[in-house]
Amino acid sequence: MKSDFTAEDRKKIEEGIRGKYAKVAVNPQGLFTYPTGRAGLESLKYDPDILRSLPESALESFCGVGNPFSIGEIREGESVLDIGCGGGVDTMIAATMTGPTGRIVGMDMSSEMAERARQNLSETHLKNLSFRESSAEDLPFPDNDFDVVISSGVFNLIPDKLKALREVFRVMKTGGRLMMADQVLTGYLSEDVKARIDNWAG
Amino acid sequence: MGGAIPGKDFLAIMRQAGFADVEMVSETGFNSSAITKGVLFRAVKPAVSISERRSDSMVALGKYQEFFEEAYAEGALDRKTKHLIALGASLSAGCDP
Repeated sequence: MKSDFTAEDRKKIEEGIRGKYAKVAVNPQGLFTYPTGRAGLESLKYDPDILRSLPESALESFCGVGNPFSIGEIREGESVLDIGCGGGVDTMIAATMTGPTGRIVGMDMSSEMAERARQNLSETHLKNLSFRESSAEDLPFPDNDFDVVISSGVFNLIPDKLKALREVFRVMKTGGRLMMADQVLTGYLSEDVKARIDNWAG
Repeated sequence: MGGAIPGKDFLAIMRQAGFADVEMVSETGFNSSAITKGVLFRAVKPAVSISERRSDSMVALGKYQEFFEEAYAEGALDRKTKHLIALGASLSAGCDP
């Protein structure tokens, strides 16, 4: 639960994440120990009808760790924020679920991933979503802006998790729902802070 | 996975951030390493945050304290007599004073 990293530690962590996800933006295959792309989406039981409506090239960039839509619904016309959207597959799925009256924003700290997401979006007919580069610890949105916040495989990468969750809380409307997938620790990590930082995005 | 933390710690941080109905719903089967596992979390932003709720109950407690002080204030009967009457009333009502 430590978040008392020095500025230099945080810089190293961010560089580690940016470095890895610059490669993931090109092709996620082989960079994760679990299925990615269409195979990943299918094994996580994403709605096949929605998957069919999205371009194959976009689905290939999927590298989530779970299916946030499996634990709650997204309703027509809702506003949804996708924290750490990566290639934007979940963002586009949410945009399909809300229909054209919804408003969806995907944000990612990696400029390469946000660019990949924009490229994926350009291959669809979806008009109700946009992508932004930003840190989850400092969200560029007003208070009470979103009905739903989704996220997949992101919070484990965030150094100051409380700060990021307070930001999520701030930008959510009252009664808003947070639905997220992530990796949690079940064993022991090295006590060596340097080793942990070097392997942050590993 | 250097930044991963145990699920119960993450649930505690979600509560600390103000969320209610916080739960770890299930495992996803997608594990990034031998010591991490994929899980699903769910939470809601409550109408009144827990910290606000706490301050509401402090206001209610303060109001009760005011009422109590007013009722036991020295008047036609002194404070000690009022307390003894209250004790007798609570005993006859079967209360444990």
